[in-house]
Amino acid sequence: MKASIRSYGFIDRDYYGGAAQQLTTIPFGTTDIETLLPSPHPRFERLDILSQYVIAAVALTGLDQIYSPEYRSKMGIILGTDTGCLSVDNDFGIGYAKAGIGSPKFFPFTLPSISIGELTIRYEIRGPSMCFMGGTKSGALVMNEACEWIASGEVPACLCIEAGALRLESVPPLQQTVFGIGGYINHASAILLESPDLITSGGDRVLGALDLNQNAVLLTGDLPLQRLCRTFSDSSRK
Amino acid sequence: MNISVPILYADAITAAGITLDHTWDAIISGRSAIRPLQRFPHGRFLSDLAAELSVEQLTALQIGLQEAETMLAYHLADRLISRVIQNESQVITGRTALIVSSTKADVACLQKMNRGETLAEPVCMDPYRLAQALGAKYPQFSSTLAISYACASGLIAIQQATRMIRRGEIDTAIVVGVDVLSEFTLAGFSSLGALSKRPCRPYDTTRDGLNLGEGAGLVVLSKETNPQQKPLARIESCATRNDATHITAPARDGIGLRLALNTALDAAGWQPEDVEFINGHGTATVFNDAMEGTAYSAVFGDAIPPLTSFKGCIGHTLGAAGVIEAALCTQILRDGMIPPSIGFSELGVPGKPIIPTQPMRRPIHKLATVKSGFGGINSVMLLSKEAE
Repeated sequence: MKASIRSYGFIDRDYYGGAAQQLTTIPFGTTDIETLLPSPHPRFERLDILSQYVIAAVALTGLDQIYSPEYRSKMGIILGTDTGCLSVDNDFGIGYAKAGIGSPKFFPFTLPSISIGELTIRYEIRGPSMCFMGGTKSGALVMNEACEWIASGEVPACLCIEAGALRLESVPPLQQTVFGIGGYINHASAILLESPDLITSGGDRVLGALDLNQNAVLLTGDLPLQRLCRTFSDSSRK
Repeated sequence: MNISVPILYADAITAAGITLDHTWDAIISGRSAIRPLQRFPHGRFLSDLAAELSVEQLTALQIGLQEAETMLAYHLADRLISRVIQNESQVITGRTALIVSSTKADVACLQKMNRGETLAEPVCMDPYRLAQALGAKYPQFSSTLAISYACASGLIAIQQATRMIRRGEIDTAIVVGVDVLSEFTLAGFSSLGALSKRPCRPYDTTRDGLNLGEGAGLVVLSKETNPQQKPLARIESCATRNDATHITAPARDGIGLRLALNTALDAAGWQPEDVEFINGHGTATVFNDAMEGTAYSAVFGDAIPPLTSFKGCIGHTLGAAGVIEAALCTQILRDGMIPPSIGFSELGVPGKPIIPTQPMRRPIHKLATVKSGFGGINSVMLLSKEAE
């Protein structure tokens, strides 16, 4: 089961980059990741932290430069996340506990899948989509599923995203202890996979290929998306 | 080739009944489970009405009120899994995956923790931890998976189970959808102005919002059946498509649902006229129901099949809705009975769907169930009745 890798984007605490932009060190003290985007995203400052990381990683793939709107409308999107919306869940919960009412600003972002909605609007993607909460296996789940969708012909291409992001100040110490998230490193990785059958012209640039067996999900406990992006980033630095 | 996947078993716990049969009886009888809140303070939310499990129902399920505060999603899912394992264990064969769908699981845990209170284990404050906790309790499962995709979570989880069975990754899938009432969700939907102060009225001209509900549904899907096992239904196809329009409002032109319906029909090899009944999403919000009417008109023309929403009886059960309502659809195929759309009286959506106000006895062989959600997601599943 093979898929071609067309592009990637990556952001964590220390670095950001991708096919659309060379790997760069994030300046110390940067808290506003909007400044790192290749182009502005509408209402970015109103998004929750998970959505911001997801959108940044996808922007760094240069997706809108690679595919036409018509092609993008048929693509799939799969998101896997280990943190889900823990920060915004707490922000919303604390808000209504204090004020007696909830904030309509926060509530939609208490769904981990909402960042997929943001991406579908931004890139006009109307194909199938999926949102896994898979703990540390989230990235592996996403990659395996995307390869299956491509191999079965369900989609010609798939945007694969693995992300986890928290604002630790939104997560009380007791939760940090119980859920084991002290020192969590926010990150998002995006890889654009495409059917190898569709790469026909010499102008189509392919960064690599994947060949996953069906049991990849069960056997892999790491974050292959993040690792793949790091691999590409390191080679681009050289 | 699209291979149909049999549903061997279905069950549900809702405010209308703590079994699938009891819930079905309530729907056919036109009894709504939407009533004043018992476990939550009145006057704090936009509406004091919801389809809430009563104290008597919780007692019958052996769930204490204190447990219901922070562990209700876990216990409801556990009760359904326990029932199928104890009573119908023959349907669980080979490599079996547990697939859990939920939007917020037991999110009420977070509030307690924010106050510094320690909680009884397991702490299932998100769908992943809920799936892990259930997987740890039941060694029958070779793998667990958590899907959280807004109000389409349940149907998307069934779709994923269908994919995994077709690919040969597993032999059996137990799909559990669960969501429960909490201050969190009541406050959230209040903040959006989405709750009705009256019992909700899907597709009606006077509809003005939804009532939240709570509950759990379970379906067992299998690679194959033995001759002694007649499937409750067959999943002919599933499809998911996006509006790509707005984060919280559905596309006015129904494009995502239209694409999902057409994709599902193509995959099943059905024509629109083959569909004999639609279990709509029917939340009773102004825009959702209008969007559905527009999409059905585009796909079915003037011949929209009879359309029913279950929300007027069991409320909107969010991430559980897809599974609970799929379970109810197996009853429609079994009994040859189109259920009434409780709360409906006068058509208030585009197109000319027939929306029954009384049960209609009519053999149904092919039906569609539809769910949509925030982010512009739309999901469709086509079910058929097993040949006699």
